Formats: sequence, C-alpha cells, structure tokens
Amino acid sequence: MNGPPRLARWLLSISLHPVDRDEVLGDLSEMYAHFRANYSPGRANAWYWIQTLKSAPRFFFQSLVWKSIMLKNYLKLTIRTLAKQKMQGGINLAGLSIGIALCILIMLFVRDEMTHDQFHAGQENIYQIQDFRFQPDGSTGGGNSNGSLPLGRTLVQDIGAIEDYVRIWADEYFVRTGSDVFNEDALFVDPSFLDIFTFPLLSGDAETALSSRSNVVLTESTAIRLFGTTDVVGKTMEVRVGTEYEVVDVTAVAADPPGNSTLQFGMLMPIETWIPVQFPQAVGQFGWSLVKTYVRMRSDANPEDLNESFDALYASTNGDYLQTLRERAEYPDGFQPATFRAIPLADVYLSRYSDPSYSYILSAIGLIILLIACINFMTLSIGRSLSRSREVGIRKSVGAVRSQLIGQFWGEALFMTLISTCLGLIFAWYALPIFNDITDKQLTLNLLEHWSFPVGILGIILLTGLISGSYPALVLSSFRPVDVLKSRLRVSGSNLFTRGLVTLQFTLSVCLIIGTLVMREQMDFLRNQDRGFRTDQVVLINLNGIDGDLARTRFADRLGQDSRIAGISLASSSLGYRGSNGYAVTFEGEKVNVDVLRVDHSFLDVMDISLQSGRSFDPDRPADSTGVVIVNQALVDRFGMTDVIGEIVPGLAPEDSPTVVGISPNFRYQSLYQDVGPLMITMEKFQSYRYMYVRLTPGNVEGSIQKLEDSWKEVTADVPFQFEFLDDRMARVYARDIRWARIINIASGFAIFLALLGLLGLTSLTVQSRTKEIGIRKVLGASSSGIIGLITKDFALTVLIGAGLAVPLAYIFADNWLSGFAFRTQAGPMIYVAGIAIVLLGALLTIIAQSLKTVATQPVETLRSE
Amino acid sequence: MLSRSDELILLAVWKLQDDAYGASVLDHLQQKTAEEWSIAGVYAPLKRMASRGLLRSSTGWPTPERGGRRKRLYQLTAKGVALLQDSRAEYESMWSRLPDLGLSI
Repeated sequence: MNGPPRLARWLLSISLHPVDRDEVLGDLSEMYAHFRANYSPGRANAWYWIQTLKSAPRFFFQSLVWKSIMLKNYLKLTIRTLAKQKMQGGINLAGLSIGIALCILIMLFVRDEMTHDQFHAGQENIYQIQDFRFQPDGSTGGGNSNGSLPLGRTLVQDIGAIEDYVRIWADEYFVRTGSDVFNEDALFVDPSFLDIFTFPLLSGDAETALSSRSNVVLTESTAIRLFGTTDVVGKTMEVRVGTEYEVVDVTAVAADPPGNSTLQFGMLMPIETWIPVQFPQAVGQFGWSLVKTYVRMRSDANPEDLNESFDALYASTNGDYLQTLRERAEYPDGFQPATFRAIPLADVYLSRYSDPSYSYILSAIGLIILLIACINFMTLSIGRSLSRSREVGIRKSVGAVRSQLIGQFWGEALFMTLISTCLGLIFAWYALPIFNDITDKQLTLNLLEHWSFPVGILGIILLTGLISGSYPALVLSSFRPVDVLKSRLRVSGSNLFTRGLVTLQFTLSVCLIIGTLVMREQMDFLRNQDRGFRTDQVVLINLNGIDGDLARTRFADRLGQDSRIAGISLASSSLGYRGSNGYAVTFEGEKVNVDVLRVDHSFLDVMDISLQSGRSFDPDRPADSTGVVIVNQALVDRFGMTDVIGEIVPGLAPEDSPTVVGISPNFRYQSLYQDVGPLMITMEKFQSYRYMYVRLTPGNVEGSIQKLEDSWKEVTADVPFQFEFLDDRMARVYARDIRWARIINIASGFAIFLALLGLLGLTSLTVQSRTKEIGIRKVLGASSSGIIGLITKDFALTVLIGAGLAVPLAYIFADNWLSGFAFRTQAGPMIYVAGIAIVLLGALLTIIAQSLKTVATQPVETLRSE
Repeated sequence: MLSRSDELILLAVWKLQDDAYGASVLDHLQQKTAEEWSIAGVYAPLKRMASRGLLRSSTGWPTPERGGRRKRLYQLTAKGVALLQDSRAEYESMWSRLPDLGLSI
C-alpha cells in the first residue's frame, strides 16, 4: 500500500465539508507522496497522522459552521412552507402530536407492566413456588400459586440453593380504633417478609417488627387513616379475626407499596400466630393449598437445576395425590403428573395478575394511530410535491447534491416531529388522569425517571420523522432538474401510492370502528341477558362472618313489616361470579365439577326462581335443612338422571348423598363467560352464608338503603354495613372487558378523526390543483353536483376499498374476542355494514364540504388570471 | 489588519505565483519559518482570505500523486497586494528610528 493511512484519511474525510474534501485530501496526498519519496514510509505515515489529528477538529468545526448556515436556510423554508400551507401544516401537527401523545402514554403503560415488582433489591433471586398439574400429553393449565403451610420450611431444609422463604396470606379484615371500624387489606406474613422484599420502614425495626404474636405493621396511609398520624409505633388497635376482635400493637410503619407492586397491603401481621388458629386443619398438612410461598435463592443458583429436587419433594409430600392422578388417567411411565416449579418474581405478575397481550394490543393501537398520522404527512407531501418539485429543480441546478436534498426533506420531517413531540408531551400530560382512569393504573409522567423514557421518545421522534419524511426525501430528491423545470414531469395528487396509503388508513380505522361496535353489542347483550332470576332492586349485604340466621331473624324483626322491603334471604355466594364454587365428584371415571349454592328457604322466592318440577324448600319441614337438594337442569343432563325427584345425586360420598326434591331451570348463577354448569342448591351447612339478599320494592331507593343501614347498626356493632346492588356487582365481573371496550372505542375515535383529517387535507389539495379545470367545466355548462360527484368518486372508491379490506380483518379479531364468552351476540353483517357506513358517511361529508367551496366560486374568479 | 500568519501565507502565495495551493504553501512556510504548520492552519486562512477578496482561487488539474484529486490554486488580488504593502509600510515605519536600549543580543 503506497497511499496514506486509510483510517487517518477516513477521519479527515468525515470531518471535512464535502465541498472542500477533494482539495484538502489531494494536497495531503501530494505532500505524503513527497515525504515518502524523500524519507521513509514510516515517517511519512507518522507525519500524515500528526497532520490528521491536528487538523481534523478544526476542519470539523468549519464544516459545522457551513452546515449551520444551510440549516438556517432550511429552517426558514420549513417555517415558510408551514405558514403558507396552514391547513396541511395544522393537520400534520395535530395528527402527529395526537399520535405521539398516545404513544407516550402507552409507553408508560407498557413500562409499568414490564417493570412490575422489579423494585425489590435482589429481585432476580426471588421466586414464587407454584404447583403445576400436567395432562398426560404434558400440557398444563398454568401453575397454582397457593401452597401448603409447611412447604416453605421444607424447601429451605431440603434444597440447599434456597436460602429463605416467606409465606403470605392475603385477606380483608376489620380494624377498630376506639369506636371507628375500618376495612383494611392485610397480609399475614413470615417475619422474613421485610428482609426478602423491599418495603422500607419509616419507623420501627425490621428485625423485630413482626416477631411476636400481637405485632402489626401499618403502611403510612393506613396509619393516617386509622390514627390521623404516622407517629403510631407503640399504639394499640383491634383486629377482627373470625368473629372476635383482638388487641394488637403497632410496631412499625412502612412506606405505601408502590403502584407497580403485585403485593398490595394496608397492614402486615405475623402469619404464624394467626393462620394456624383460623385453619387448624391445615397445620403440617401438605395437601392444603392455602398460602403463597416465595423463596430467595442463592445468587449462583439456577432454578432449572432444582427441578429434580422439586419433583422428589413433591413425590414425598403429595404421594397420595400423585397416586390419584395416575389412577385417573394414563400417564407415561416415569412421568410425574404434578410438581413444584419456581417462577421468577418478574414473571409472576404477567402470568397471573395481568396479561402481556394487553401491552401488545395497546402498543399496536398506539402504532396504528401514529401510522395513520404518518400517512397523513406522506400523502399531503405527495399532494404538495408539484410545487416542491420546482424547488428541488432549482436547488439541483444551483449545485445541491441529492444527499443534501434528502437531508433537507428528512430534516423538515424531523423538525415537524420535534414540534409535535413537544405538543404531544403536553397532550399526554393533560390526558394522563383520564388514561389512568381507563387503564386502572397510577402512572406518572416523569421524563427523567428512567433512561428508557427519553430514549423511547427519541426513538418515536426518529421513527416518525423517518417514516413521514421518506416520500419527499427519497422520491422528490430524485427528480431531474430538466424534467421538473420544463414541466415535463407530472406529479398527480392521486397516484397509486397515495391511494394505497389512504386505503390502509381506512382499513385500520374501519377495523377499529367495527371492533368498537362488536364490543358494545356484546356488552349490551350481556347486560340484557335474561339470567333467569331477579337482578334489579336486589341489595347484597356482606355478612363478613357474622351468623347469617341470627342476622336475618333480627333484621326481619325490625324490617319484616316495612313496605319498602319485598323479601330477605341468605346465600353462600353472590350470583354472577366468575369461576366455580363447589367441588369435584367422580362420575363414571370422570371428574365433574358440581357447584354448590347454600341458601335459606326463602331464597328461590325472593329471587323469583320458579322450579320446573318438584317442590321448593319448606320452612315447616325441619328435615329440609339436611339431606335435601334442588338441582338444576344442567346437572340432570350431565348425570343422565331419569326420575330425578327422590333420587340421590350420583358421585357423592354415601354419607352426604342428598335426595333431590326439585329441579330448577338453568338460571345463570355464574358469569356469562361460562356455560351453565351442574348446580346443587341446598340448605345444608356445606358452606356458610356470606351474603344477605334484600329485595326492595320499587320507589325511594336511597331511603330504603338508609333504613337498611340503620337497622344493620342495631343488628350488629362489630361489622360495618357493606352493601352493593346485585346488578352492579355482576357487572363488575366484566369490568376488564368493559375497560377494553372503552379503550378501543377511544382509539377508533382518534383513528377515524385523523384519517378524515388527512382526507380533508388531500381533498383540499386536489381541489386546489383543479380550480382551473373546475372553472372551465363550469363555463362549459357542468352542474355543481356533477363536479362534486367527479371529485368525490375518486376518493369514495378508495375509502370503500379500504373499508372492504377491513371486514375480514375485523371479523377475525371479533370472532377471537367473542370466543371468550359462552353467551355471545350474533355479530351479524349489520355491524359491519354500520361500521363501513359510518366511515363512508364521514368521508363523503368531508370531501363534499371541502369541494363545495371551490365549486361555488364563480369561474371568472379562477380563470381571469391567465 | 492582517495577522502575522495571514501575512506569511499571503507572502508565500505571492512567492509561489502560479503554483500556490495548499500543499505548496505549507511546504514553503515550513521551509522559511521555524514554526510547525498544520494543513488546517494554512487551509482555513486561505479560504477566509479568499472570501475577503485578498485572494482569487481557481481549480487546477489533478495529478496522479494527488490520488486524482483536483487542487485549488490561489493568486493574489490587487486588494491583497495593497494590503500587504500597507502592512509592510506600517512595519517599516514602526522599525525606523527605534532608540538603542543598550541590550546586546
């Protein structure tokens, strides 16, 4: 190699302004050759390097000065273009800033989801122990996070890699300070809780905070709620366990758990002194699934390596259960049907409490809206490209190279994006409370909270700028000056590319609109479903462990004659719940889940459930409270019972095999996600009463509730009056889907708004470029409606194609979502037609409104200038 | 006013006449002065003085030893020559009749 050192030459060439590059590198090469000829090549190389290092910074600075002069020019031009084309500029800014605001909010959401529970020091070593049951083919329905009481200690004893454990039992408890009763979220935990998890104490000692029986740790906000101050260490209060209040001492105050913690609590109490008392049957038993068990592993431990130890531990502690499973189905030899697994803390939230698909769906929605805004930017710059192409021609003739033009156009797009981002941040700031409300989160907008946020915003800016500026940068800059300046090149506002983009916009918007309509239809359908029992005017009062029969009797004494009360009854669960509430029986070798509903004798009357055959429970027959059940039609069908009345329910153990006295219709006692399952209604004490059902007569609801509360206070002083209307409570089951319906609803609103905005801009551009043509047409006798039709036809067709493409796409999504419900609406073609019609109508109105102005202009105005 | 380095560069261009470009100017300065010159230290003043109208530039032919790159040749303008002569006159008037300080070198 005889030339100068390549790296040095490259360094110089990147620091030099392109205009100077040739001569400087040439000069240096010449001197280098001279040096090389007169001295040694090594000396020549050294000289070249010294020259490079000395000069490169100065050259670089110079080229910056030159670039900044051009930048000022570009900036001026951008602002002038913006000022000249106010409508398009406004549409671009509005679209991009709305899109970016949504993306910022969604970024916050996703980050919150992904960083759940990561604030604990050493969280990578914390695992939750879950109990997995496998089908013979190796599949599993996910782990059960509830474990037995002795599990934690056994794990630490048997498996060396496990350092420490903590068991957690969560429930709501009543707390009394003086005469005030509060309902608080409590966690019963081992003392190691404060060591394994990072919940800093504001006062008190973490070592001893939970060490003795009567200790309790309050969070800051609980302390303020209960005592009005955080200076509470050493104070006492009462906690209701079972049916009695016990006195406890406050030993510490912890900071409130952050919003992105799965473990949420208002107070902590020692598990060892409370749970064994409440569940004496579970002490020392591995078969009882009761508490969540978390472990901390040594930092060098790999949970994969522990699987064998887990299998062995499971086999030794739950041998009977494994035996039963193996008997029930054919498992391959050596395959253990159930075992423990350690799930990393970071995965616990997403696998059990949330669903990563929400993050994906939201991200997709955000990107769709941003894409629609970017497409507006692109189509509008295509529409404007005729006037911009002249600029390109002139710039090229006076010496601009293509790379400069590409830089200019991309720079312009980036500048627009930058302004939009500032606006978007302001929008996001104002919209955050609404967004938090919709998504049920407590997000805060803090730019510097984590490095990922500024980086993410920078990513959004670059991505948006690059996409939206790509057309002018890559296409406009390629025009040949001769063609452009001689007007040989025709750039029309509605070429195939533009049409494709507009089609895509409307495909996406129509998809979202149809999604909204389908979800709304399904929610209406659920709301109007006939459940087979009375849902309105029914108040549910939570008994919170007090004796139901006693409460009802006392209540009836006070309210029995009140005309506002139509009936009082008791039941073990609130109707409309999701999941199952009963037990599994074995029938012909198969496990069948039978739900149990314990009621009192008046329940069926109060709830307007009339039996298909047989009789209801009779208060005059004491024998009805044991050994007698009413079953639903689904149970009859499932077990293939023939005579039914007088039969006993198959599959139950002989000692509690009750006689069937009546058959109820299949009323929907569960949520509508599920099909109606087999149900036994009984008065027997399988379960305790948990709710009092009070049916009101129509009329003054508030007065009735007040009366109920007054009477409740006379019935018991231990438990506050907690009530809810049955229909509200049943609707809560669908809260998640209702929330998503709202999100899709809002998103589709934005999407269609932006798409129509783009259409508006595009129409105005087209009309502008055709003013003369329209003038001539009018002179020659064309009618206004004919001209409007001419303009509309083009766009309407594009929109229609887009909408048409959306139908199959929307159908797939709608079908997928609806399949999660057992009771679903027939989302008929009308919904799809309606979705398309809404969009098409909006598009037509936009186009016509925009073209009307031009069409109404007198031809003489448009034609006289030439 | 000209700085000393500007003045030296202009003088080099004058001396080199038709063959004044970055490399030759640098070479000339290296030979005539005891200072180390960098290419940027020559190049930037050349350019700046060309934009002030003291120098006129034209494009020269590429040569093989330049790797086929063009050179930019500089020539003094009348304005440049006038400025140099003014500067020399100033120097000489400053130097003339300086008192003897009695310090021997």
